[in-house]
Amino acid sequence: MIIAEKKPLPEVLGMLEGSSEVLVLGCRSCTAICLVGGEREAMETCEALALHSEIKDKGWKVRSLTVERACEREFLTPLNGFKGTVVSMACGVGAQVVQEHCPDARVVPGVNTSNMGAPEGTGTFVERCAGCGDCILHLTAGICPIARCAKSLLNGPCGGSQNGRCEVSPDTPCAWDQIVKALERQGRLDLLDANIPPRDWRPSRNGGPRRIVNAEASPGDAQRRWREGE
Amino acid sequence: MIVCYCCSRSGVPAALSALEEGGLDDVIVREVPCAGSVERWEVLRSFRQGAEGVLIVGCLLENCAHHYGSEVAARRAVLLERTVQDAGLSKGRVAMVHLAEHQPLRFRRAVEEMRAVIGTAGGQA
Ligand code: SF4
Ligand code: SF4
Repeated sequence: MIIAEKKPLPEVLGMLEGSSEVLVLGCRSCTAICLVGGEREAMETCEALALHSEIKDKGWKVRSLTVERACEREFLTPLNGFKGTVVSMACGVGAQVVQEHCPDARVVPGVNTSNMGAPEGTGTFVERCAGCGDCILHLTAGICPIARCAKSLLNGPCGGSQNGRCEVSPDTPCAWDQIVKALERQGRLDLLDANIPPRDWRPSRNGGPRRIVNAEASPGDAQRRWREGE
Repeated sequence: MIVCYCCSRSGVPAALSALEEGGLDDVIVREVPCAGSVERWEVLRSFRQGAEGVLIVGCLLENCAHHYGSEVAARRAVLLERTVQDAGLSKGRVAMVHLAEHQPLRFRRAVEEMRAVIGTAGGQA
C-alpha cells in the first residue's frame, strides 16, 4: 500500500489563508491503513482546523468527509461541483484525482506521501517496492534490492554490511544479507553465481508519468480522445 | 471547565469518589470503556465545546485491563497536547493521568495541576 505521514498542522494552516469553506477529505484505503488519513484522522484534522478557526477568528466553515478511495473518481461524486478548499488526507495520487474532479476547488495536501510499503509490527511502516517497472524479485528471493538496499545494489552486499545490518543505519537490516540468507534457506544459492546486469531504467522514472494500459479493459483511442478532451 | 475522559474501570470510580467529596464543580466526567479508546477528534471537539483543559484518566501502566490501552492513551495525550498548541491554545492543556480506582486523591491532584495550567494562561487563551 501507499505509506504517508501526517503533515505538521502549522504547515496545513499556512495553506488555508483566504479559504472560507474547507473540506477535510479522508480516504478509507491506504492512508487509513497507515493511520494518517482515514475517517478518524480526517475528523481529527477537521476538529483541529475548526478549533484554530474559532480561536483565531478565521471564519472557516470546516467539515470532513471520508470516501472509499480518493484515487478513483467514481467514489468522488459527493464532491461534485465543490469550489472551496479540500485538505486531502489521501495520498498524492488521491489529492490529484480530487483536483481533477473538482477543477474549481483548491486542493491542498494534509499528508506527505512517502512510499510503497507494508506494516512492520504495530504502527511502523517500511518501504518495500520502488516501482522500478521491471521486477526482479524472482532473482532475489522475493526481497527487493532496489527499495530495501540503501544503494539499490543489484549484486550486493556492499562492504559496509555488518552483522546483518546496513551501514547506513543499524536499525535497518541489510537487504543483501537477507537475500543471501533467504536464497540459502531456499537452496537457490546458485542464483548468486549469475551477475545481474545493469538495469534498463526506462520503465522507471525517466520518461515522465508512466501509463499502464490494460489491453482488455482500455478502449484505446476513445480513451485518448476523452483524456485530451476532443 | 476541565473535561476528564475516564476509563470505566479505574478513572470513573476514582473520579466519582473525588467528586463526592466536593470542590470539583468545574470537572466534567466522560466515561469511556478504556483510556485508549478516546478519539483524538473527540478531545479536540471538547475544546470547541468550551473545555479549558482535558485529562485522560486511565489505569496504571502495566495494570490496564486492555493491556496497552493506557500506554496508547499516554502517547496520544502527548500528540494531542502538541496539536492543541498548534491550533492556538497555550501549553499543557491535555494531560494523561494514570491511577487505580482507589486513588481519588491522585485524580484531585491532577485536576488541581490542570487548574494551575489554565489559571496561569487564563481561560481558553
Ligand atoms: S524490483 Fe522493482 S518492481 Fe520489483 S519490488 Fe523492487 S522496485 Fe518493486
Ligand atoms: S549494507 Fe546492505 S543494504 Fe546497506 S547499502 Fe550495503 S548492501 Fe545495501
